Amino acid sequence: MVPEWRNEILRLVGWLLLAMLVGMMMGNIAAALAMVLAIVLTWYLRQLYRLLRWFHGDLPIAPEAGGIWGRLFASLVADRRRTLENRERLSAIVSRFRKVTHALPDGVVVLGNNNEIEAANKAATRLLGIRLPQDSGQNIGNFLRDPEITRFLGSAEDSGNLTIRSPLNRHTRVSIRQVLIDKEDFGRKLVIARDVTRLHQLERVRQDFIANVSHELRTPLTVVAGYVELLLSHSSTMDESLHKPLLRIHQQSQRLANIVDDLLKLSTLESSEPPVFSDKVDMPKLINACVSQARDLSRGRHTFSIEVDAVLGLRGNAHELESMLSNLLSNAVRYTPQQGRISVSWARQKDAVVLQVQDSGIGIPTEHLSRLTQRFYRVDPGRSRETGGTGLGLAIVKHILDRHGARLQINSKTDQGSVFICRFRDNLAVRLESSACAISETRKSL
Amino acid sequence: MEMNIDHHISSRFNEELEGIRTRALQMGGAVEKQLANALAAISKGDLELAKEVVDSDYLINAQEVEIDEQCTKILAIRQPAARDLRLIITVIKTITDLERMGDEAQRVGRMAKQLVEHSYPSKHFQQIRNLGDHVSRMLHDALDAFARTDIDAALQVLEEDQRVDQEYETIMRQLITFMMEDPRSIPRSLEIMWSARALERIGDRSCNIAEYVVYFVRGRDIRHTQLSDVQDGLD
Repeated sequence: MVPEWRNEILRLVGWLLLAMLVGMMMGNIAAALAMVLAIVLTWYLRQLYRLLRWFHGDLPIAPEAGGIWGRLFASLVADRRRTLENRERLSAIVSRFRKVTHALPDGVVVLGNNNEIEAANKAATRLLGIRLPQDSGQNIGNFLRDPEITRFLGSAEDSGNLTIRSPLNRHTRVSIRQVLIDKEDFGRKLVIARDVTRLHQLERVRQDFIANVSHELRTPLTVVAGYVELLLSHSSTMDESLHKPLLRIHQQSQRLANIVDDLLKLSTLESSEPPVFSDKVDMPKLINACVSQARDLSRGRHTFSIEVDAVLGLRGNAHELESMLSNLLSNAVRYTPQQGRISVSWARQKDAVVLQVQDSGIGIPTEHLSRLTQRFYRVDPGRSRETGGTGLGLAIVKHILDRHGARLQINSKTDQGSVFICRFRDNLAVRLESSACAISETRKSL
Repeated sequence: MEMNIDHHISSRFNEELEGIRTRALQMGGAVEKQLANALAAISKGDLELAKEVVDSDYLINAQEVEIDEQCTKILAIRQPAARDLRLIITVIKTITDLERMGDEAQRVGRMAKQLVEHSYPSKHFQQIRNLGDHVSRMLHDALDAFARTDIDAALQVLEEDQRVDQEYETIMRQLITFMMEDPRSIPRSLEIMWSARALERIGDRSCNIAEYVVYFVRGRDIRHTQLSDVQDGLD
């Protein structure tokens, strides 16, 4: 037991004994006891009163007393000092932390599970126009009202970047992304905003440059090709030795024209806004058309098979989708030896709609797979040029899929063929009305 | 000026009120986007974008109907009073104005489409663009004022409208001069005049929203009042 307690109890017992003694001497024990108890109680009350006054700050210094009361006062004083010290230390940490977040060049907003603003730094004010403290607690959608942002922030997962115009200044481009803070911390997330105006401008300059160069190249090329064709048509009257060089010029100018066309296509894909997903594309029909083109290209060297869900359509840009599929198919034809098989399938899987182009061709060594969609990337430079590719086909495919929010997956092994799998988001799928016509066409082509 | 809406015992009601405000603001965002796209279509001569603007007005109309229904439901079930009632009234009025603004933006989009299709020279487009930027800012500020229940910002929107009116006036004069100089330019000038008019109307409707904000916060109707009187009255 704490010594103060023992002393206190001993003292109380001592007082009571004394009171009983005096009471016995005076012949009235009860009165004496009551008197002593009243005195003790008054003293206790006085200590309580002092304690309370000190606690409310009326008394500048802590009261002093002996015994258990002194002990109580001392512990309270020590506790209060510790609390104050802690509070100072914590507020120093908080203010240092706040300074750090305010010094960040990127805007940071902390959102609660209903997208309500909990905290934001100065850069967020500059880039997104969110002002604290008056905006705290409001839904971030009250300030970032662009429907695209609403959709972006509505999705629960970490979902890439979105480039938007700053609500404060339409010339400032801001790239935003959201990060879930903690899986446990249900729904709370960070929104990070970065100023990408300069990057965006650089990208524009680059795109414009490519577009201009391709355009400027195309005009003289057409003239050259035209004259070569003219000369070739009169080849009978020409020196025999010129015929072969002319043929080579013709082939190469054709190739160059293809490259320039693909470059132009890429640059339009890059510079135009993503397609509006309002058009319903009749995918079965489109697939059949592309496959019959590929048949022409193959000239009977390969067998084709098609497996399509005849009522499954897709929201997107028909022109782009066609260009994507014909690129995939012409690759398949080009890199599959004679008697090879090429199959196309189009079906709904559990959380995606999937277009798949499979061939039994020469395949792609694993180390090349990750770089395959870069422009002009060649697995085997010699062979690809022979087969007449431009080196841009898969880059175009990748771009078109990106624009449709789809993912490209390539599975391949050397000499075992390749599979190109395009996964579209489930919500882009549509049911086609004219299913009867689509089915009959599928049968015909099979 | 700040206002705290969290004062209801029923937190569901609070959520409903906050939700409806956010929905209205996001419909405003859709209109802002339409307007921005219409203006971009004009200044870039982007036919696709113009078509998109013309074709997506129905989305805004659909939002108006939906929010209207939600408001009716809240009125019927919760029977709100005082500031909650004012919020619902403000939302109902605001979305009507927003829907009309959507129509005006669509009109600008339609003009952009025609201008691109007939490849008119873009002499006046810069002015339209400036007017458009000015009006977009007003709309943005009005919606921000609604989000923040900020009376000062709302009054600034009202002031800004006078400048927009002057700008509109200038474009008018110029177009009239062009039309007198060269009657062949009349169809095109009329086209431009209509879209300038549409933009000017968007400015006016932004002012309406700003006025509703004052009504919502202070419970005072300041429509059809001189701006200076309004300011004196509110101080």
